[in-house]
Amino acid sequence: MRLTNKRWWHVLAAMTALAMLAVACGEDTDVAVDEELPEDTDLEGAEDLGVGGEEGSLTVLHAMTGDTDVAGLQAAFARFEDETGITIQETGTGDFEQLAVARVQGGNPPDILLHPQPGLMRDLIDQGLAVPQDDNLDLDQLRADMVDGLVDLGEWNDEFYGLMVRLSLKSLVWYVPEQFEANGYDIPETWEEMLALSEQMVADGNTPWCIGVESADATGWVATDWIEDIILRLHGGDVYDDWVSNDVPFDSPEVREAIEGYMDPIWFGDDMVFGGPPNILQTSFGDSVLGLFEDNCMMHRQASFIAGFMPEGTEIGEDVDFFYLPEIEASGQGAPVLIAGDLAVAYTDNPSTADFFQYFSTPESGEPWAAEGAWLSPFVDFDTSAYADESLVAQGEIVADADFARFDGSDMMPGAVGAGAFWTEMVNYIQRGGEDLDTALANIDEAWPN
Amino acid sequence: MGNLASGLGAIALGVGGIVILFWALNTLVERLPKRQEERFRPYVFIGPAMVVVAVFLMYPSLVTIVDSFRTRIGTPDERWTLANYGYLFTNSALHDAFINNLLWIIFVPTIAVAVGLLVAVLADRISSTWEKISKSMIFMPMAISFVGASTIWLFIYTWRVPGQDQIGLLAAIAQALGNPMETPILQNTTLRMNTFSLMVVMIWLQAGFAMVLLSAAIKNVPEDTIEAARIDGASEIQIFWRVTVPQIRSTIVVVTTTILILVLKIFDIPRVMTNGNFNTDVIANVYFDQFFTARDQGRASVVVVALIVLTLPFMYINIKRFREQEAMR
Repeated sequence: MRLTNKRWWHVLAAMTALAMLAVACGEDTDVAVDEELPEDTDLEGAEDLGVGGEEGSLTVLHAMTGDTDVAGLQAAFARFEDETGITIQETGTGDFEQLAVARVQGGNPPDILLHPQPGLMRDLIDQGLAVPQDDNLDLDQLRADMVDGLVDLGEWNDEFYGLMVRLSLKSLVWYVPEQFEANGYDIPETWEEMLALSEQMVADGNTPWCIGVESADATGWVATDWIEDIILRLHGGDVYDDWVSNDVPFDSPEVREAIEGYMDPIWFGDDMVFGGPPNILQTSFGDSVLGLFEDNCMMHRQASFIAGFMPEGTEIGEDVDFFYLPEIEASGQGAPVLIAGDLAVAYTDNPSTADFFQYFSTPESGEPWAAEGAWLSPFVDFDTSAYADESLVAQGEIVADADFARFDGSDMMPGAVGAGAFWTEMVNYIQRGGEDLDTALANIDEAWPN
Repeated sequence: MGNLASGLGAIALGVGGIVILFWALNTLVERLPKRQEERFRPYVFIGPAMVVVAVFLMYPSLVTIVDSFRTRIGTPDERWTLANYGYLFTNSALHDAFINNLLWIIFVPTIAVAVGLLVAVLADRISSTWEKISKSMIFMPMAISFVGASTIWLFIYTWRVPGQDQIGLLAAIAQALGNPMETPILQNTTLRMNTFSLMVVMIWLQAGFAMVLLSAAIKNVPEDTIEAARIDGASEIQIFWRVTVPQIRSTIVVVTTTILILVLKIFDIPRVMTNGNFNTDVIANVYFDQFFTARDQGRASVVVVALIVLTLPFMYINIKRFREQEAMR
């Protein structure tokens, strides 16, 4: 059957229509991003982000989705654009790990990734995909300027890759001062006092704790934060480091004591947590803090960024306040802080990435972000008057006054554990109501890559 | 404008290029002596398609099989190992995922087809307007994406602590009836109830598809066969099972197989609704986690290899039946 002239025109017309439709639906980019992704994924942000830009523009992928976080990020980037003339196109996604891997390994990476966990950064460095910044920055100066240990965090294989752009303090307990006053409660200075306070609350007919671990792909990470804080207080920094590097396995007396002796009494104690284990599993981490404002509970342990999830108009210091998650007196290990942060790493040869790193290695670069809130500076000499409110200054002081600090452990473990088995096994453990810890610990250990 | 031009150019080049390729090959073949021409012509037309299949299907499959025997792929540490197969045979979480897939494969196609058949048969007997309305309602979910459907059903299954305002439909009904739910459905692992509640979403999506095809097939059943059965004194149910169903059997097989293939790939629904937690994990989700989160390509590959091996018997049966049908022609 030969194609007649008329049919050729029909075919051509159809093709043209298709091409126009495809272009209209796509973004103003050179390369379509969609082919790189696996089928049937629900990754957001993929279509919006073009490939690494040319000099004069940068693409940044990050994991921030809370309103305050994003506002702060955009404010900081806006000032960067004003001062350097380099435009930044940023995208945030809740599926950061998966999207980042798809983009970088697929061969069209964004210029910069803001890693909430060093684990992925290290894997990508091992595969030779990241660009070191040793030649670009004065590392000695940086070490002097930043909080102790933060520059080391960005190093891997003896080269420097990751610049911290945001610090968050994790060892905080949030509460409503009004409720404490009304019931005559005092701020506990030790873990033992905090546990006694919880039991007092139960006796008074109140619910002490709100906890929620749901977080889409990352469900379970809240439990890991608790365990890390406890291990730091119970066993000290050295054991913590050994645990993070798997010299101390999960199935060990130290970890077992931390979970059974300190986490379980709170998480699975009668009437200790609002709604019990089913509600812990069901409630997202961002929603769980709202229990404080709905009179469902009295205390909520969470990092500093949770301020961005509180109801609008909440005044920190008045409507809600925080106290330092206290040390465990019986252990004698002192008062540590657990911190986390986002590391900026470059993945393309775009010369503008050098400008980015140089700009953000100065303390002043964070001032617009500080003004938005829910952000702490990684720099020692940061001008604290730039902070949106007094609470951040207070948090900065907690970091400075701590006996020792450690970065979030699960963030430093390999992805299979820190973003995988540790989370899922904790979810299963919670669903069992705290039964059969042995299986959970054994499974997590089994997930460590050889 | 540059994008429009390059888009058009790509289409023109792509389509035009293929047309020219075939035309050129055909002309070449025509120049050969008659006998050679007949021998080479099939290869000329199959050739490009086979190249594409080899490059985009066979090569990746081979790479996947090879990768299942390696670990730490992409790093300087890369080496050969059998540890991935150890993981495959000993990891109980993985086995649970396989069992879940099995349950999905058994229940979803059968129930979706059953529902589709039921609706098709019943709709056939009511007035024309109502038939159209009811069929459209059953069919509409097909227009919804898997992720969209998962989000919708999340709002049906969602749960709050008893006594609070319930935002999930089922929990709200239960609470209104005075018997609030103690645990959320999606966390309820008794008899794998949560997996079945996930299956409901898929059935809801696919029943419309089954219904449409089966409805057409039922309407094609010759009226005289049914009349004859009626005259012979058969009841409606007997007519349905003994007269209608045998005549639409090939359609039932086609529909079931199509839904089965879709179910084998199930990923979005467990991922969005439970993230594979609470014993609802499926193989595709395990693969995704191993590949992207754990970044262990070796383990991801071994999962895929297992899936290939498990589907081989079905492939064999299918090909065998196809050959038998061809032989009968």
